[in-house]
Amino acid sequence: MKYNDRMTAINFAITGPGKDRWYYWGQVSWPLVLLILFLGLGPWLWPFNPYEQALQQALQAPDSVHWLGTDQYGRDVLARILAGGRLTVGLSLAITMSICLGGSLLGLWSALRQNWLSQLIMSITDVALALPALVFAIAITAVLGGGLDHAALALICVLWPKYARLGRSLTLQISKASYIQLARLEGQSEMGILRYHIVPNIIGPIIVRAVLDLGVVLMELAGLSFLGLGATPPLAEWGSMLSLNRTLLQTAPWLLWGPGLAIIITVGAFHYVGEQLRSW
Amino acid sequence: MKIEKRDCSGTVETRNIKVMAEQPKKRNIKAMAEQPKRKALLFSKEGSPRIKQRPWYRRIGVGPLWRALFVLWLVATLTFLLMHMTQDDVVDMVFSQQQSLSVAMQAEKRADLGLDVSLGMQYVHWWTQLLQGNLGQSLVTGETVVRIISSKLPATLALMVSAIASTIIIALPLGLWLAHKAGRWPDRLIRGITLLGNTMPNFFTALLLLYVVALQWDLLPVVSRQGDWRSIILPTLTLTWSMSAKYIQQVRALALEELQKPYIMGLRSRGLTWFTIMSRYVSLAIMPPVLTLLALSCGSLLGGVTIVESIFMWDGIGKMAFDAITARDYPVLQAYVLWVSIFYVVLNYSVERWQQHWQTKVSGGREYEV
Repeated sequence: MKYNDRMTAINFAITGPGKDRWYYWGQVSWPLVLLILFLGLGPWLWPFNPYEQALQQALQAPDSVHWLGTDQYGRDVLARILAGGRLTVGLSLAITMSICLGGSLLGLWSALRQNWLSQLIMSITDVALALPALVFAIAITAVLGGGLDHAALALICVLWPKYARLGRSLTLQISKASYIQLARLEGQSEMGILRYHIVPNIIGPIIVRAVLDLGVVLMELAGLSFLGLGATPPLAEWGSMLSLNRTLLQTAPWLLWGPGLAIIITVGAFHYVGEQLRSW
Repeated sequence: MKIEKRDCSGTVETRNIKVMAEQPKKRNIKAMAEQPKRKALLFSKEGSPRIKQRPWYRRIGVGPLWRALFVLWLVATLTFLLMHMTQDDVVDMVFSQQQSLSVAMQAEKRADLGLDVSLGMQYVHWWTQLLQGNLGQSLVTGETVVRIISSKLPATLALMVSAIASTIIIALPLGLWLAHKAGRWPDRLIRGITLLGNTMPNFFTALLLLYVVALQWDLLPVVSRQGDWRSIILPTLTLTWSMSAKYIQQVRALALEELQKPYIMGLRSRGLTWFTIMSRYVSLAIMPPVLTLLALSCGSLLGGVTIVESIFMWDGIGKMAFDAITARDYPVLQAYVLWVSIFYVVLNYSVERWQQHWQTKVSGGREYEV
C-alpha cells in the first residue's frame, strides 16, 4: 500500500478506521509505553529507598548490589534515577500538555473569533515569540525564588505562545478549505464544523509538535534544576542530581553516567516517537 | 515646461506650451553610440519597471522598526515588573545580613534605593535612569551594573561568535553532503549521531567533555584562565555539539527540498559536477532560511551560555547571571535580562531586514508598487 506523501502516521492514528488506529499508535509509541512501564514499576521492583542515607556505603562504584553505584550519602543511584524519572518525566508531561492544550485552544479561538481580545492575545503572542525563551524562564524562576513548581510555571509562561501561533495558523489554513464552506452550506452547526472538520485536521501537527517538545521541555526543566533553580537538593531530580555530583567528577564519575544517560534515553524516546509520527 | 499651468482656457500661452510638450526629445545618437556600454550588473535595478519611488520611511522600513521598538519597550517594562514580583524585600535581604538595621535606617535605605514611592513613580524614575544609561548598582559589590556588564560582555561575545562560526563550518558542508548522499550509509550514520546531539543536554555534554578531555586525557585546562586561548575550546565544543546537530538536519532538509527543483536538472545537464552545484547554487539558495534560523537560535544559545559558562568558569555575562541568581543580586539580573533581550530583538530585526533586501536582490531588484 502506497501512501500519499502528505499523509503521515499521525493522520492515520487520528482519523483512520478504528482497528487501524490502534495499530498505528502501537507502531509508533512503543518507546513511550516502555518508558512509562519502566518508571511506573521500577520504584516498586527496585529494593532501595532513594532518600535513605547510609553513610557507610557512600561512593561505592557500580557492583552487583548497587547497579549504578551510590552517591556521597550512600543513596542508591538507580533508585534515585527511577524516583527522579517519575518527577521529571511526569512534570514535563504535565507542562507540555498544559501549554499544548491551553495554547492551541487560544489559537483556535482567536482564529475563529476575530475580536479585540483575540487580536490582543495574538499581538502578545507575537511579542512573546520575539523574546529569548530560556533567558526569561531563568529570570522568572530566579525572581519567584526557585523551586520545581516555579520552574514549571516559568516554562509554561514562556512556551505557550508557540502553540497559540501554531493553533491559529493551522485553523486559518483549514477554515479556508472548500469543504468547510460546503458543510456550512449544508447547514451544519458551528460546533459541528469544529468537531468534525477543524479539530481532526489540526490536532495531528499539534500532537507531533507536542511530542517533539516533550524532550525540549524535559531538558530545559533539568537545565533549570542544574542551575539550582528547580528541584532543591534532597529531592531526586535528574538535573539537580547532575549538578550536585559535578564536584565529584574525578572521584565518582558513575554518578554522572546514570542521570545523563537517563536524560539522553528519555529525550531520544520522545524524539523517536515524534519523528515517527511526523514522517511515515 | 510647467504642466500644472495647462488648462482649457485656450489662451496663446497654453497652446505654446502644448506644442512644446509634443516635441520629441532630441537625442544625441552619436554620443550615445560612443559611450562605453555599461556592464550589466547581476543585481542592477536597471530597467526595472518601478512606477513610483517609495517614500523614504517605507524604504528604510520603519514599520518593522516600530514593531521592534514596541517589543523593546515591552521587554523593558516586563523586566521592570519582573523584578518587582519578588516576594522577599530587597532591603531586608541584603542589608540585614550584614548588620541588624533599625527601622529608621531601613526606611532610609529604602529611600536610597527609591523603593518608598508608588510603583508608577518608580517606573518613571527607572525609565529616566535607563535612558541615561544608568541601570543601578549591584547589591553585592556596589559597582555600577553597566560597568560589570561591559567588562563581561567581550568574553560572552567571543564564545558565541566562535560557537556560531564553528557550527556553520561543520553543519553547512556536512548537511549539503548528506543531502547529496540521502538514504545511503553516510547519511544514516551521521543522522544517528545528530540524533544523539539533539538529545544530549548542554550541561551533560559539558561534564562529559570535562571528564574525558580535561581530566582523563589531560589535554586542555579544566577551568578557564584569563588570556589562555585553549580555554575557549571546551565551551565552544559544548555549544557546537548540540547546535551543529540541529543545523546538519536543517541544512539537509532545506537542501533536499532545493534539489527537487527543476533548475538542478538543468545544471546537471550542462555538465556541472555535484560539488559545483552544491557549493555555488544550493548553498546560496538555502542561505536566507539558515540565517534566520541562526538568528533565532541565538536565543537558546544565550540561555545555554548561562549553564555552559558556569560549568567552565568562563567569565562572561552568563556566569555573571548565575552568580547574581545565587546572590539574589536583582539589579544585575535585571540588566542581564534586559541586555540579552535587546540583543536578541535587534539581531532578529536586522536579519529580517537583511533577508528582505536579499530577496529583493535575488528577484532582480524588481519591486512593484501596487
